Amino acid sequence: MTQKRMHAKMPEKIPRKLRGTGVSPGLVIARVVVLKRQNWQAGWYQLPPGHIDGEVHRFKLAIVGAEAELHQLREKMAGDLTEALSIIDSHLLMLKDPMIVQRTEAIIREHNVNAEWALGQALTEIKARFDKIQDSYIRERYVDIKHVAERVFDFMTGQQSSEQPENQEPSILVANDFSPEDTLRMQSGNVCGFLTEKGGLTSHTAIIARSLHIPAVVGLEQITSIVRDGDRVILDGASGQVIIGPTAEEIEDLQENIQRKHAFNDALDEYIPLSAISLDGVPLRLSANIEMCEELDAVQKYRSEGIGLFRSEFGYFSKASLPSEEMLFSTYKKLLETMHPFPVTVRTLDVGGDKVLNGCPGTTAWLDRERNPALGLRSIRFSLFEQDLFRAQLRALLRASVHGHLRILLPLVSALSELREAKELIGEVMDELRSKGIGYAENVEIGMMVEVPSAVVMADLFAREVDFFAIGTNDLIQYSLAIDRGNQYVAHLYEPFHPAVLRMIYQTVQAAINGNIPVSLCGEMAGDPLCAPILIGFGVDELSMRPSLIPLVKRLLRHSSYEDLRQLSGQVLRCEDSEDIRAVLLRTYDQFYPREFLDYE
Amino acid sequence: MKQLGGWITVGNERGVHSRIATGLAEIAAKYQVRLHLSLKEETADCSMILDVLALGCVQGDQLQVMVEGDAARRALESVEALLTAKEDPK
Repeated sequence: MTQKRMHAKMPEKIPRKLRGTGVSPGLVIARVVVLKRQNWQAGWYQLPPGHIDGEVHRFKLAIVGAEAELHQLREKMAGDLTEALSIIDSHLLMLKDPMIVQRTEAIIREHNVNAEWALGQALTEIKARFDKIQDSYIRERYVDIKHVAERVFDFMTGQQSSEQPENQEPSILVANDFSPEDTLRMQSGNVCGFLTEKGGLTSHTAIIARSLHIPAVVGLEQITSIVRDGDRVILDGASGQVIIGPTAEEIEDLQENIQRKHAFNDALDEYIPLSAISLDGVPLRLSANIEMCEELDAVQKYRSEGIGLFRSEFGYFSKASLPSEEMLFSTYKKLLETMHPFPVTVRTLDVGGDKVLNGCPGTTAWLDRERNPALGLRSIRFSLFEQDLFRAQLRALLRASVHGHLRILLPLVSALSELREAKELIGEVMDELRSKGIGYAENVEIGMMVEVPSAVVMADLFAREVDFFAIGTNDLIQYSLAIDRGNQYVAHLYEPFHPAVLRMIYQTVQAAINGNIPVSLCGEMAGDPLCAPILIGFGVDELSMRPSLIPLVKRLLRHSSYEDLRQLSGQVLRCEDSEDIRAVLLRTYDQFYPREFLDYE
Repeated sequence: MKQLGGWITVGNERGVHSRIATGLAEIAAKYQVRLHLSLKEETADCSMILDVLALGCVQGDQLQVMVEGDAARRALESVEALLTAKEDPK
């Protein structure tokens, strides 16, 4: 301990482990090549008499050169890189922009100066204008303008091709920042990673690195001074960690890690096209939990048979102002169309009041701040309080319903009266649409989350009034054990295998079966290899989880006999505490499944 | 020469970024129209990408659009589709 402290006090050496922002996942080890761009220092000089036209001509030739280069690059690009292509197109437009071209020419003529300096001046003016933009994403587009101008500058000073390492060994490129074009040029195959000092998740470098599947970490301060050409580096594009000069042990760990991941994923990939059915022929719907349309690619990749939980909150918080009905509609429409004919379950706004109310200051609820948010004005209670907001969401949902199979999921229902009020409102919105001649699907299902203990106790009555149940285990555990998982002092008491939790899940499933309605479970338990078999044994119809977990659960299912799991879950229900349950499960699973089935990422 | 105008609310989460600005310039070129966008007091000519970017339009901003040209109607329709879409242009 003492030694460590002393060590820490010693003058700081070059850090060996760094953490930046991982923007493109993947794990690689390679030697680095550092690209140091010469600083753009445009000297100023007065033109000799009669040289102005010549100078303007020199500048325009450089623009033409840069344009030709972009066109060449554009032609080389594969068809599926549309995003990358449109970045190039925007750069081509910048090369024509009067703020660059005409302004530079005007400065050359006006001040009788060299083109490099004039271009630099024009750029300074553009920067001043962009600095005033409030939105950071658009403000940062200045970087693109600078990259474009730098290429023009290169053409004027004769450094036409940005140097590219010609060594055989795949290497990790390190630079202050790459222009998107740089990144594209490096597609040649001998680049296996990027490290940059600048940039963020949405920088164009990041976008292109992702589309090329090259691991990248950005935002590493001083990285071009810390590493030297030829240094060996481990780059983890998912976590953002970078290890410089890794030890033999670290390298071994990494290689093992990579191999394990590959073997694991390969084994799981085989399950993607297979159907979700048990050894004795009992099918189960494996669906996805998502919160934005961008995740639909993953949903399709893992062949999810529906969206079991679409968290609609994201549409409300991604911007400073509340979303319009049209914006919600277009999101829901896209979801439904993409997933058709599989069902899409959209959970209506599920938030603590504080968060969404920032969008409606001045309302009564906004003034009375919550003292106990988990028990306060949230989820369905909030929707019933702010009815205009709720109606807009319902209108958007119902209008979109004609594009697929929609299931509306009401969160945090705790009493029958609450459910009835919400259903009445849905009925009113339907009437309103009908009276305006706006269509909606007749087969829209209305279900509720079972996540409050009172709903479990009353599940038999609720089952008569809804089309489906979705058990939300994260909240159910929190509310029934009275544990806030975010509180470090009590988090260890949060226990999915608490017998009370399992009994409540069982009771809910039974109520659904007796009431002849389907029941799904969406919560972390659904994708947990230890929990999932028990839940299947209870008799749920659907498990909804992160898309990437679907093959894992499907593998378990396909190697299970439903009858075995049913018996096992009966045994588990008789256990007295979570330790017993775990012991029973681990013992039994050893007979059912190979060891690695319970491994997980 | 037809002149048309209208108000459009920006739908894209990242606002009017490079790809959208590029799309606007393409519309102006394709339909041979003059296309201007105004946000508050500032106006930008859509054939100039930097001008448009410099407006700094974010999601939810109300923009005034002015189109001049024979194909003004079709151009305005395209502009509307591009600006109100939540997703990036394909």
